[in-house]
Amino acid sequence: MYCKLEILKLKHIFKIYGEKVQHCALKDINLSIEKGEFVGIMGPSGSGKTTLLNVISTIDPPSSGEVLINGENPYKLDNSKLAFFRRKKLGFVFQDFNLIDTLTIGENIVLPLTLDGAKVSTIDKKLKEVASRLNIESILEKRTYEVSGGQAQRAAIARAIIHSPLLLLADEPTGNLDSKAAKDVMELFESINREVGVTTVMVTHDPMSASYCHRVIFIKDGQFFNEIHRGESRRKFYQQIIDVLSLLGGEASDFSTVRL
Amino acid sequence: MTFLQFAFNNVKRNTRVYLAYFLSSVFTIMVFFSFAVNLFHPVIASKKGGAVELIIGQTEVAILVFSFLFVLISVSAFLKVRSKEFGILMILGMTKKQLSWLVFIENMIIGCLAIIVGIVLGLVFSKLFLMLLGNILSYESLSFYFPYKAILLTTGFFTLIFLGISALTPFIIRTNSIKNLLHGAKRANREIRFSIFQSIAAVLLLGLGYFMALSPQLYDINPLLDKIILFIENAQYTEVILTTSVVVGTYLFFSQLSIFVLSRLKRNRSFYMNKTNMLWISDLIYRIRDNARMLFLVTILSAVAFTAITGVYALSSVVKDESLKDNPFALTYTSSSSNDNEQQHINTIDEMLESYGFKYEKYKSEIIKQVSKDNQVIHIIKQSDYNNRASALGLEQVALDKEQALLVPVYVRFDPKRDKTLSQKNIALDNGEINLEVAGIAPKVIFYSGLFPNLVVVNDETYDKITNIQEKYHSYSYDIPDWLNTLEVTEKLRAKLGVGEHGKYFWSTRIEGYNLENQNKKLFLYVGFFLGAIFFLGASSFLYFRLYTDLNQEKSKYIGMSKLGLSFEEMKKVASIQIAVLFFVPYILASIHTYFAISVLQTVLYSSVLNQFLVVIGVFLVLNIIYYVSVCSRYVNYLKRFIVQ
Repeated sequence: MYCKLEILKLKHIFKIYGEKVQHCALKDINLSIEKGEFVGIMGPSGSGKTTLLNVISTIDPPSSGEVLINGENPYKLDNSKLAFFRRKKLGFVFQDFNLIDTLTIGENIVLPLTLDGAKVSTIDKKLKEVASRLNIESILEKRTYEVSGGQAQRAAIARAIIHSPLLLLADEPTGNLDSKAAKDVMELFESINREVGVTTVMVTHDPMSASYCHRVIFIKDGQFFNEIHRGESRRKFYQQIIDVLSLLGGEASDFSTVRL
Repeated sequence: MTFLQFAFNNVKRNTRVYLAYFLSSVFTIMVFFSFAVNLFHPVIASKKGGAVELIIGQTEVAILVFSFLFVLISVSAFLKVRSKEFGILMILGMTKKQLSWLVFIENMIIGCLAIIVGIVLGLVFSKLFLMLLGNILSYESLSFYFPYKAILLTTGFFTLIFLGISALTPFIIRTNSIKNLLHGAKRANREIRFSIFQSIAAVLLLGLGYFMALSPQLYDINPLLDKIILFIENAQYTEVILTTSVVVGTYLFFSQLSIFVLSRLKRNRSFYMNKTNMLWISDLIYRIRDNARMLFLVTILSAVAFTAITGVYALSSVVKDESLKDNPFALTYTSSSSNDNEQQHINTIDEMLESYGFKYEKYKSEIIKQVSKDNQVIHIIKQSDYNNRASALGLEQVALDKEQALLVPVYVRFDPKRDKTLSQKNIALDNGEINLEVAGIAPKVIFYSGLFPNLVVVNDETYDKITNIQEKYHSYSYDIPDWLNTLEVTEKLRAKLGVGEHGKYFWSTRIEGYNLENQNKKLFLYVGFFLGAIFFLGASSFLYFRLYTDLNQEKSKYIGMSKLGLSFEEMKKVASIQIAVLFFVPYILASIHTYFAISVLQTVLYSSVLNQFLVVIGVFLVLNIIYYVSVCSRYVNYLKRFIVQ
């Protein structure tokens, strides 16, 4: 018997937008994610998956309900404590990379440590480690517009994990990449999750990307719809995902065609 | 990379964005510093309360106010563009404090650099500036000194400005919603709205301002119009009303009227649907709407710059003309009957002029002063004396009969319609014993501006009959062809004769008035030129910055359209028209504003300044075209790299 460590817990999350014309983006979402898990969130366009990720990301407070990250409710922290919380415990990867283009790739990667006022020797050591793990040593001196999309996303992932966060949050990380680069990035996520043990939550609408997860949660119209767990075979899991998606009945164009 | 290095890299690698802002700041600081060097120069400082101190001191205040607004507007625009970057930083765990600190350091890096570069450049040019000022004030020389006071003042004030603006940044960036910072609050699709009422108000306000500026020149066309004009002239705060209506009108022009006009253009289907017209019109509506405030600011700044420069240029080029008209004679000595030294003084003047080798003609006149029962002062000169002067001034001779009188204006800018003494139809002398009919008005001043108000010319016989004599003056006017060189001899004469003696004698020269006016006007030219340059540079900097920040959005739009088959030539045309509108509409409107501002100035000047206006506007047009061509070609070349060929 081992003790389950709950990293993320969502209790009865509601999110309502608008004042006169109200729109309910999330309805009673409950979720529990354990340490070391790799969870995908899927759903058709407008289903609320990005809203859900924003709520988890501590940048969009829920209208009601509770978010607990490592047992702590970030929305109860004041502004600067919340910033410290994000800096220490969360890592972010975005669809459009969100690298700062006045900085070099290397400088982008070390930003979380810089913000935390880490020593230069520590910063250099960690940068070396993470760059060699992600195989991006050669582009550290380059500027953001000099590298390919795949390389930029690798750099963004390096930035997201350099400070060993508790929770890695990814919003459509393969959305802007071609299939080869997308595959590389997903393999990277998988190996980081396996080797470093970072708990990862990823929003995607690409079944191929989702098939790297341990578990995929489906939402529709802001509500929990289904969840499936991966067995031994990723190929089989991929097929299962496709099946649920067709059951979900989203528009076909929302999901990319097979690219295994 | 430490936090400081991070801030430094941000500035270093963003030079393209910051360049125009930085250069304008440097120039402004340099001018401020140079004026401070002038102000604190030992020679100038020893003459406290003089015109120099006043004019340059006020200019310094104007520069400071402008700098504060310029830095505030630029910085807040920079921050808005970078909202996504700030969103990323905040989500990575940057605290608000750190963000403010980052912006603060960045501002201070740019600010300190600008202060240092501005002061160093100011030091390099300070000798030149001191020479200029020395020349203007006709001082022997203003030697170079180490201006530690000016350095302290400049550093102090501008550090305060940059510090103050940095302290305001947390209010400019809305850090509360990281989500909005990151995804950008969606604005682009807002509906285009305009109010017809406000569009009409724009036209009315501009019309009112222009009408008020022109009103003195429109007098005497229509009786109803005259009443309105007199009403305006007698109203209080005319200048405030005029300025406000033009400023508000300009704002509404950009925020409402321009959009109204473009929307009308859209309704004209055959024009709107013609090739690329649809593209530039529909796009321009959005651009003007988003940039209305910036265009307004650029227009007002340009108008102030144009007016300042035209004004000082016009003043300095008409100064000789004005002195000639104010003082038709180079020297005029006037003595009253109680002065015993009259002949002695005249001899001194004659001898002095001769000893300096000046050729001159002397014209002597006798003037009688009468005060009527109702306390009205009247001065009388006889026809022969008048004709004597008239011949010297190239005026027509007059031949009055015994019952006639000729009125002579006392001021150069006499206005027969509104100067009551010049509208008299009959003149009564000796308390009604001699009654004369006014035969006409002399074309100009015959002594100098301001001497002998209510002057009438009468027939010599009539003159001899006058009994009521309050005072009898002798006035000697000298015509000296080489008057421009009479400053030295005038100073010698002043040493001997002084300024005059109350009730006995007084004398005035053209060269002294000319010299004083000339100095003041040169000083104004000096100050006005730099102020104008600062304002114009500031305005250009805003435009450059706006185009630069719009570039990313434009880029994706042009890429999309090129995929649909928009050729490079067409894209170039669309972009050029749009940029041209942003560059030249403010220029044209500012020029029109300036024209009307100058016509206000015109009412206090004798000579026309239209030529000077055209020269200034022309020079700025050339500058604007150069600026437009270089910006436009860079812009198009940048877009060319992304377009599908």
